[in-house]
Amino acid sequence: MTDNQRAGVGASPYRIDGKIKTDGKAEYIQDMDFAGLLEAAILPSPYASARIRGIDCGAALAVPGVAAVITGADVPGFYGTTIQDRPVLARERVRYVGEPVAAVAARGKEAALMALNRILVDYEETAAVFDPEEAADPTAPLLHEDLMTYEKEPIVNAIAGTNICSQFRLRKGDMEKGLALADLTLEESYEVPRNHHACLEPYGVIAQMEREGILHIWTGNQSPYVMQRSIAALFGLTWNQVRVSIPALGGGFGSKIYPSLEPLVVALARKTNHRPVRLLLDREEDFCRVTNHGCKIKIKTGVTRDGVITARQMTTYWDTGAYADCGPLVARNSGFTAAGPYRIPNVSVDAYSVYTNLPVATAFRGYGIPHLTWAYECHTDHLARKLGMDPLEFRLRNVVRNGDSSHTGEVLRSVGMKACLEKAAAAAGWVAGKPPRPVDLGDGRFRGLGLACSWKGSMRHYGSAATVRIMEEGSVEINVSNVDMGQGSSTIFAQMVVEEIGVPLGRVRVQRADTFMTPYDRTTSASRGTFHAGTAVRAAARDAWRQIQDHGAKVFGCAPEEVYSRDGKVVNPKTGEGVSHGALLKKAVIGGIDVIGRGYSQMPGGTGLDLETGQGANPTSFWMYAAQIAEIEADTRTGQIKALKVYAASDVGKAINPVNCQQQIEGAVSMGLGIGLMEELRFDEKGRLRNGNLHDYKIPTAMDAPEVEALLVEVAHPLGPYGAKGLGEAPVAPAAPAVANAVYLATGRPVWRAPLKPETMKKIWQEAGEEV
Amino acid sequence: MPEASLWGEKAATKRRVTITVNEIPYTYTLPVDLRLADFLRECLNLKSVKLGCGAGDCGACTVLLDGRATPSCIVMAVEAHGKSVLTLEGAERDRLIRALQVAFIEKGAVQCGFCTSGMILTLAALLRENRRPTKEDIKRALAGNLCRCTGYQRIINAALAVVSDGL
Ligand code: FES
Ligand code: FES
Repeated sequence: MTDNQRAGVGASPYRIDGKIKTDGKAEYIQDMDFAGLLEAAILPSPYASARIRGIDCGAALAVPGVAAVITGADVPGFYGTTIQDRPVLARERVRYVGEPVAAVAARGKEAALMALNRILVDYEETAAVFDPEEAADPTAPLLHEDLMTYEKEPIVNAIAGTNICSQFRLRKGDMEKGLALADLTLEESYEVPRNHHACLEPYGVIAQMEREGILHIWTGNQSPYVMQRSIAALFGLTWNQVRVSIPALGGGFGSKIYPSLEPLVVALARKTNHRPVRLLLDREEDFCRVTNHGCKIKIKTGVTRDGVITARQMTTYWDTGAYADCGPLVARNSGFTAAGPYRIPNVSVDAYSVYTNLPVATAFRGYGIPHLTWAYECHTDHLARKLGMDPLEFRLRNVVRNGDSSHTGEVLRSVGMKACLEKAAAAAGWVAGKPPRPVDLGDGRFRGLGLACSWKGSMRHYGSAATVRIMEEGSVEINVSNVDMGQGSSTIFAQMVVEEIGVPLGRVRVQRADTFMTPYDRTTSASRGTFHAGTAVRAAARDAWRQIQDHGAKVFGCAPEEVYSRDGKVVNPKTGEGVSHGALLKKAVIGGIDVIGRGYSQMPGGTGLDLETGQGANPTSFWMYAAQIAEIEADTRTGQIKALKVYAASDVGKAINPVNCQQQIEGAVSMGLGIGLMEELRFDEKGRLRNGNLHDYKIPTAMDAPEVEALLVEVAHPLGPYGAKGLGEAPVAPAAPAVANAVYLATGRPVWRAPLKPETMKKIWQEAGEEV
Repeated sequence: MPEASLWGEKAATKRRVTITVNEIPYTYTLPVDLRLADFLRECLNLKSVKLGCGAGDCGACTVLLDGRATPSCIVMAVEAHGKSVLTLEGAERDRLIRALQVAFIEKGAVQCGFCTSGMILTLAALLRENRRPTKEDIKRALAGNLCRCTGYQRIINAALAVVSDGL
């Protein structure tokens, strides 16, 4: 049997949604049909910081076809992922260019836009601040005077009288002592500017206040239950009155985790006599809805002459934008891993999530880890050169191992960091102690290899639930609120069910997330789907299988545990004959009742992190490890750097579907190379985005695609289903610093700021002159 | 087939056109500024045509216009008068496109699926012109089709698989 016919755990059957997608039949939010649909449009703020002196909507309401016009005055309250600091529409002041000031719902987009044009807003421009380090200064203009009185999550640690909406501190060991032990210290500053998720599908939402009192929201969102609960709180509804249905998603990458414009569409939908309201952003609007954080990073490390890291100190300024969203969590969750996957006895981290007058920065695949990895991995190579050591050997000497204490004091288990480095190195032919020599092509071009590694925690354990329903005719439905936005989780869950109850894969369907039908799941984020939702699905499948065994025992006249499955059938242990699941259920005469298995993922022992020291014994349910070696060709005449091949190893714990794991790694490498080589949002001195479209904001194309050799390391996790860990995020991080390190190894020219655009590199190389 | 009244409120001038879509000729009176993508999606309900940017930058809306891979968001519907359009909905009997669809599934070239229709049609146009494209030819043909999920490797491999099957 080939892997494609075998469909259980460890095989690589084709994706269960492959056919609807290659037929063009998957239904995304833009494809949904509704009778009486109204189109929404948003009036954006033209100023990064201004007082609103008045708004006149009179002429807008007179436009034929307009059903509702709303401004901040119509929608009280605040929302926000970690800090309730955000009004649905601007009230009294605006804090970034693009902030919604008014919104219209009308018959047709054209009428909506015409109405927007007739809204008059009187602004008084005020001082703005764009750089997170400047914004953190107590003298900077304040974005939120009420910061200290907003409602906040417990992890938030705001600093009064500043734009620092949260600070994360970590203190391990004794920094002074650690630095005193070092023979060499290196202090550097790095920067990764804001970039963008650029999901191929632009964002969209539809909301309807249904006649019977249900608020129904269709949104391409990664976390239906977060949405349900935030919306319910904001509009004074109970959870069971808010229905969130998730259609197909054209990518998420963190941009669709939290509520963004959903509250605004709901506010419109409450004024349209039960007619549904749709907001489809165009690409330029999508660029301003949310972005990735930008980050400035200071790093200082002490090492001994023989290459042992004694201390590391880091300060990071996260450009969170006008509203906190998840900025405090990004600062914290990346903060406790900020010093990198290394054994370091003395660590200090100060991470600041800072308000700036720019669009809201949110989660981005890796949750800050790509920024930090850029800094600490370039820094690692700079240190290795100063020590005269091979970068691979230097890393192997210092990376975390099983049983080590992490920087928060956690005892690390099932650590695949060294194994990832070794696997990538073996594939690339890099022998520790003998760094590969760059090749000078003689015409200003050279080729070389570079290395980087990374780790990422997931998040604290939060619950997931699932049910598995076996219908009387034998087809099976998995109900789970994890959202398959392209990562392939629905196929993974189906494989788990095949493994546990022995039905053929073709009989299994995975329901799309819908808070009225699929049970609770915290979020589809932090690479937690396979681990947490997977645990719940496996438990539900096992529960269903026990019920099948009970029915089998009655029908076959044997003990329940004797009943087993083979080749997609339930086997009578007495005769060795198999019957289909449906045939068995029919024989069991259970009156048409479906078998329903229930499963939960509830894990013990999670801890928080101390607000003063950042210490905590169990801050994340699992860790991910990744190491990559990039082979590049650089042209010093044009400044062009091209990734030719990337050897990318990731510790997945256990590959439920090896091909799916490779797909995740390949996509992650492409995204990482985008961050490293080309992607940067450019804002002008007024805070206006200058390249908010897919023409000026370049993401990798097929022309840029390197060959990626995706390598799987399997160091089983004791709590993960079948030993699996998560995967999606960690492999984004090493690609960019691996490229930078290849350049450094070949030319000795350090770089500190991503991306390595041709203009920048050309300048660096021209200055270097003959050296190169 | 009734004429579209959807666009009735528009002040723009209209023109009567006949466009053959998936082998069926449709006659409509359409505003001159109606995009081909909107005609296909809204008037004919052909939603395999995706809108990713509306500016010709992403390739998600690619259709075959007289056999050429064309972003339907930057072509006006009236420009397709007298021409024939193919979308994935009309490709059921097209052996080359079927082969590409199967190769995409088998080579794991599909993740979120949003770019997939455009990718397949772009490759179909390439392979119709050149049965033996090299990897570089394939990359060049795909340069206008963005994918944020796959890193392209498997999409390129799917195309190569169809090439080597010699359909
Ligand atoms: S939607 Fe037409 S090219 Fe992007
Ligand atoms: S598969 Fe998601 S954009 Fe290509």
